[in-house]
Amino acid sequence: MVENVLVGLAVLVALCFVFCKMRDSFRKPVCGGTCENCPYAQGGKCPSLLEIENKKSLK
Amino acid sequence: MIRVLLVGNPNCGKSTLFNELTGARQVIGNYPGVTVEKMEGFCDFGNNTLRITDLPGTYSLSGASDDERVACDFLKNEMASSEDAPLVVVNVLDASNLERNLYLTVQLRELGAPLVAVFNMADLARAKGVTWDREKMETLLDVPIVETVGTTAQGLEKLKSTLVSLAETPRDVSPLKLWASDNVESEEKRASRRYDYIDELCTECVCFSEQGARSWTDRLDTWFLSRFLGIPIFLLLMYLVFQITFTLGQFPMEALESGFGWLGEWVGSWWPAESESLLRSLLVDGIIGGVGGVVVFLPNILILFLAISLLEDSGYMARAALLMDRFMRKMGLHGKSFIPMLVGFGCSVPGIMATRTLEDRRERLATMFVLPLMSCGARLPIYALIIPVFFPVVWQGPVLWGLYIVGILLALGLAKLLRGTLLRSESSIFLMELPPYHVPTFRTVGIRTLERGWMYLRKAGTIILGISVVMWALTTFPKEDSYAQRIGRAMEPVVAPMGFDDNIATALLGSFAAKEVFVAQMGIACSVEDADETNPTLRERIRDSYSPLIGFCIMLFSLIGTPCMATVAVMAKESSWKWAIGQWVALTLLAYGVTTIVYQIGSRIW
Repeated sequence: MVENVLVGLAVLVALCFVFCKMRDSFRKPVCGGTCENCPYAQGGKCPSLLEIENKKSLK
Repeated sequence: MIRVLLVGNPNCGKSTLFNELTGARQVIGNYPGVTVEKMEGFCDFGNNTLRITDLPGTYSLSGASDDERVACDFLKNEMASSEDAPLVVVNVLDASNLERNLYLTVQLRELGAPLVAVFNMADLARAKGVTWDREKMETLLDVPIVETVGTTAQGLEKLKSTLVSLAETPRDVSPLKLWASDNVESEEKRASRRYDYIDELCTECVCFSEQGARSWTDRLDTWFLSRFLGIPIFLLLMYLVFQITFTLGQFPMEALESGFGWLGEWVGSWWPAESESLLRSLLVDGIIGGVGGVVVFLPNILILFLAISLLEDSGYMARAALLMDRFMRKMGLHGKSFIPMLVGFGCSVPGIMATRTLEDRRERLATMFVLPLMSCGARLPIYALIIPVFFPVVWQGPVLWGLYIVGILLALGLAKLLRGTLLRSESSIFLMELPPYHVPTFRTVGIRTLERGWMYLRKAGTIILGISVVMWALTTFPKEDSYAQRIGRAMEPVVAPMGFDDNIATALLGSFAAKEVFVAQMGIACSVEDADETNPTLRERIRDSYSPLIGFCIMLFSLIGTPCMATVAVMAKESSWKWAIGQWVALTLLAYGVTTIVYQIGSRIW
């Protein structure tokens, strides 16, 4: 019984982890967000990230 | 605290100096354009702390490209900064190319920057027969000069003491004036005046000996850049790289495989022999079978990236870019596209981001679109799993080599199609500096290889572990007809023309999250199905279940199709969702078409 609960928890945690990782790869800059050192950053932010924020603010 | 800025032409050894000074581990490449970001590090000397900033390489301060603009703006801001810490600008010059490197020095002198000139790669310069009168040059330029050899840290103590003494007792140096301040001249005329000044300076102080003119670099380039031999030598080198990936990697891989086999048995022995414990199955089949199946290929990954790092650091890869430029231009791609593509052999994500250096949007889109066809490091475990199963040792290198070549040829063909239709525009010209050859440094090659290995292990321990647990659950529940089997069965009619069964279909579906998941899922399916049997290894199971043709088709499909999730995400960010989805669909259809043709023809022949 305890083993089955542990397995259930492990699968649940893995599902949440994979979901968050997938969501992050679409929401966060893939480079790791080192914008302060990036020659492409505009106003200290990644152009990709700014685009995502602009889209959000439009909504 | 003393602020130190490292500026210089691309590939003059700034990052090597930066690493030696700060103990940092910044990526270095023996080709121009590796540093596209400014990096910061610290170095102690006596009672002083030096805050060192390494700027992207720049030929001038005119700001023609993004990289140059970053360097120029940062330099001007630092000079105008009201910060208390004194500033010293270190202009790093490739001593074997003084005439060209001095252009930036002259511009820095015009700005009146507190300057130290570093003649780096002094050993190579002397070997090429270039000598200089340092004292005379110091007097004429009005700048202290330090000679260094970045790779052996020679001259670094002298450089540090010069920096500290310059910061403690600033010299009163007036900016260099090559024209009257009220003279309004075009930038072209000003450039010409600067070159005249450099000519005079070099005539006075620099001596080029004929004896050393034909250097090792020139001699090697007559072979490596030969019109007839250049490409065959490139192909031969690539073949050797792939062959040693297997021959050297085989023993540690087998040792790891046995290690994980033993670990699985040991963990399994915690339960009674006939136990149907779910926790046992999760640990042994899901985690050890899945993640272990991926980790066993770590030696192959390390060997491949060690070999590529050696080629990069020696200066050969810049020649490869030049050799490929001829083909790239014919296919409508920019020569600059080669560097992102080279990066794409490691991972498509930084490769797509590296296309930012391409100024023409259509050229950039075409490069991004075909970039996933460069076989990334994540596909290597799939090849490393399948190739040794079906091909004898002598054929392992050529098969892997062939897969990479197929990827490159398809990328060039697709680029030609795109540039001729949707993304038509004029190709711009490409200029690239060829660095001198040098013996690769242990530090640079070692750091890059270990970082790649660490990245692989980190991925295996995070996302692949997570997906392995999810895939195990899909493969295990419900017990009679699992979800994975149902998904596989639903996909089977679609994948059957390529020769694939339900297990392969499910594994390919999982590989959308990360390519290595294919291996993990095959490992899980094998462990779960053979739980009661003699526990064969994954490779033995694949050898028993599939033909060499199917093995080849799996590799072909993985090479061409279904770019992974991270690639789709970065493509969407760097272009648009329309292009990202278009790329995914187009590459998957291309993979489907090519693999089906190969399987259908192959199955009729064999």
